Amino acid sequence: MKKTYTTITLSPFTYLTPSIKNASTIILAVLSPQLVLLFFTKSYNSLILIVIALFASVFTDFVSNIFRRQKTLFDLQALVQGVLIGLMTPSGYPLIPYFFILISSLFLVKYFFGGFSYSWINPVAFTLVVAYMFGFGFFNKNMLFLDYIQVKEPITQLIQEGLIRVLAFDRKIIDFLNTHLFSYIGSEVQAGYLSYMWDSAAIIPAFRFGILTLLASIVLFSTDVIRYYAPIAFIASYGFLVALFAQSLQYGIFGQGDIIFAFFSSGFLFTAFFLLDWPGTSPLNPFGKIVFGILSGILAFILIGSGQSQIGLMFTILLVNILSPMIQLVEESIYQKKLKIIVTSKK
Amino acid sequence: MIAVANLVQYEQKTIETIESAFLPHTAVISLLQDGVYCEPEVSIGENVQEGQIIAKNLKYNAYIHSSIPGKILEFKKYIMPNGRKENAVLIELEGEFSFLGKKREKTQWFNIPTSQRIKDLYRAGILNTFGKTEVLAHQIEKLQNKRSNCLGIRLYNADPSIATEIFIAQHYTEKILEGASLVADSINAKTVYVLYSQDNFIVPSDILVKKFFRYIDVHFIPVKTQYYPQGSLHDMQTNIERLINKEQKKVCQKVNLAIDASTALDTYKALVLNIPLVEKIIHVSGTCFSRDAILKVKIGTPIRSILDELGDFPQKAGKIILNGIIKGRAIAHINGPILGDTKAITVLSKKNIPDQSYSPCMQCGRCHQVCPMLLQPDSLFQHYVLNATISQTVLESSELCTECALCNMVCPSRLPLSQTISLLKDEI
Repeated sequence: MKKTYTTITLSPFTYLTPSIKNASTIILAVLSPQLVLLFFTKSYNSLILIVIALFASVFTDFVSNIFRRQKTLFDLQALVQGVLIGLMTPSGYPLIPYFFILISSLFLVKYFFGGFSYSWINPVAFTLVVAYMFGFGFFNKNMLFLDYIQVKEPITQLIQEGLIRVLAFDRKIIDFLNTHLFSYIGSEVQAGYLSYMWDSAAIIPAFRFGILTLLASIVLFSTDVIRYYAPIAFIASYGFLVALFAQSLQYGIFGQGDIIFAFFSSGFLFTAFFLLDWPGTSPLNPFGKIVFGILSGILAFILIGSGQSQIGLMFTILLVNILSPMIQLVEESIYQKKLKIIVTSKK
Repeated sequence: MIAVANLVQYEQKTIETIESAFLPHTAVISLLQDGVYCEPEVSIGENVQEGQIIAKNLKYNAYIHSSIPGKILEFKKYIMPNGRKENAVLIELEGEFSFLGKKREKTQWFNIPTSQRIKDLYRAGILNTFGKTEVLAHQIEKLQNKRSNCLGIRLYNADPSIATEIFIAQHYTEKILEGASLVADSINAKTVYVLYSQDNFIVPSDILVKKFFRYIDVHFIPVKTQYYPQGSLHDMQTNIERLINKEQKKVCQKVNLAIDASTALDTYKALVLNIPLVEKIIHVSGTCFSRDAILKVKIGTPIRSILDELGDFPQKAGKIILNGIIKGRAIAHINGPILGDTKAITVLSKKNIPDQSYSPCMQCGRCHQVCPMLLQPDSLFQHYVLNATISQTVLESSELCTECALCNMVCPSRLPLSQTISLLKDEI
């Protein structure tokens, strides 16, 4: 056993949440299956873009750390940021402009808005919006899928036109569920949803593997890497609006919106779990986070309807980032009043 | 409140009996008591008896005793468990023990006036380890002007990773009651609240309680110690109010003095058996040992010799912590001695040490949500460390902090929030 110890750390020696380093490792771990699937589906362009985004994110962090005379070369959070930007970029985006756009936007975020957790603007959303401004044509390619969202039963239409290939396991599982579960409530689900959730073949990798995103969310919630207030409020409010009004706008039918399709068609769940509650950009307390989530859901429905946008959610995030300080102001004034009563009574 | 099972994530083994630790070949007695340097009353080469006064605390007139019989080797600056170099006296074991293995006659303490009892407590060097370690006699003395006081006794540890107090409460119930009654009598207490772990303690009979607390109202209050935090004075008062005010519809008193089971036991030893503070009961546990133990340890025993007693480490030790994994302190030197306020040694294996690397605050707000006193630990931290502007109310709210360290435990940036608030409190 060592006689003396060079580093003495303070108590406690037990924690209820993972450290930033561990949380970043967990996020990277849950994203890695999506990267592996990109490789197996021969989406090499997307993988190259992810590598470029990773490099740009790490490079900006590295330069920033040198200027700020930090001991570490770069933080794991920079890797997470890079992977997320890469996954949200359409596969056809030209590589060299992409690199320079990312470098300049990330520097801008770091030095104009503040570094990690001090920026009130989500760096991933900001970078992608800048990339969209310079190359919106690459985001709007292959919008065919999105046209189908406006019809009443999008999955049926997509299958009929051969745009979704129904996988074998899809039929088996849906048949099983229809026989043993949905039949009791007098309902039936058509095959195709699971295939769509497994791989929607969208041009943006983050929109593709919905089931993996869902599984990742289970890990993130159970390990307490993310808190559930904002994402759940976001999903609930957006889902509610889609279910009630998605079809009513076009056909005047209330309560017939396809929630599942909306959730899996525009990277909605990916945004909810990985991007919405970015450190420093959302309110601090549960009440504020719930309001933040609900507002995000409403804005998302206004901007993307039931999934008709490749970049709409990034604009949604930037908009709620602007609203977030106001929510925090209200939150703080309520807190101050409450605290004053407590402090006075203790005196 | 947080379930203790989420905080102490290793198995806590049951301990049935108390063992005596190996006697140290050389005892290292710190000359610092309650933050005050004590003047030595012995010289190098002199022979001392077990329990003999070796230094005097000039501020409180309290004393430090030799925990073993032997020869004074030297006075030197010694690395204490907290990493600081402090004045200490080294005593080499030699000669016959005065208390160890000897039967002691009980003193008829009820005939002794309070002023004499306080003097005896000062003389015995008894420390109150309920919260921050303080000289018990000094605390009692401060309450002498008040006509009616209220004593609180906690029979479980504030840090749930330690079992010392619960063990003492279970195995020395009568002695604790007698010790506590002496303290209660000394402060002229009209009411005594005994807070116990509802899963680990059997309330003694009324006859036994009345034997020691003849004219004092004693209330036993069960506490759900499977939840954290429960150990601070604030938690004590909350638990008392919950039971007395709400359930029994009576008006409860505010606790003026709070002690724990080990302080009550030390008081018993000092006033009834005339044994000064020379040994401590310590819980040794962790993920590195095949068994946990409760040991009677002589003050000044090097930590290394205690660990050696528990045999080989099945797993490589990563961190040695004194006084619990939540509120304790990682030691700097394995040869550091056991002090008068040591209650536990926890050894964590390397794989059980959590990541403690600091990062800037990520403004997640978890500390706001978890704080039982509704504080904003991150704002107070930013104010203290980075001079961030905060309102006067937020600044004053730091005084409410009970130092439960829940804010530290939920902080992904691993910021020393609780410690910083403690410093801020001292400044205010």
